[in-house]
Amino acid sequence: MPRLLRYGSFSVVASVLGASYYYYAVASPLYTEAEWHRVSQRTAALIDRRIDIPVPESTTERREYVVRSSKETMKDIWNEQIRSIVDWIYSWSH
Amino acid sequence: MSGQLEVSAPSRSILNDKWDVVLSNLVVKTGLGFGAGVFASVLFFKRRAFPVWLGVGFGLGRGYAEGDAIFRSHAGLRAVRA
Repeated sequence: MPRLLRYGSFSVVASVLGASYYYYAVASPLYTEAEWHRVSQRTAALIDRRIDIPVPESTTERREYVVRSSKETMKDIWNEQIRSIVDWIYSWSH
Repeated sequence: MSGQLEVSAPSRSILNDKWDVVLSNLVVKTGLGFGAGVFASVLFFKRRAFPVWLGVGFGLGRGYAEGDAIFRSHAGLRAVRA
């Protein structure tokens, strides 16, 4: 490869990389909106105890339990699916 | 007949929340290490493979260390003030 071409390609790659870095990180820090940056910041904050994982509220009040057999639940799911399929087929004529 | 018990409890437990943070962080750090390895390999090492493996190793190690710190921390534990 001629020396001029080598220098030219090097300068093109270097200027593209430099411009990319400038616009991504310095001029307007777009990386702060990236998901990887958010995940990394959240992990660091968790380790430094600046934030916490929210804990669901627990209560000692009385609760209502619904006890049903698995068979009845499966019947309901089956019937719902059958109904939705039939509705879908009937929707072809509308 | 075995009855099914439906409780209006939250669907996600604390173990899942921690695992969610740790695994996503592991993926992010491994990806960053991979990217840095590719960058170094192309620019400085004539496209050899070892910088990529080195970067992936650094990323996995950092992800493991931070995950270990999160699992050892008190994050997400229910606290009671006495």
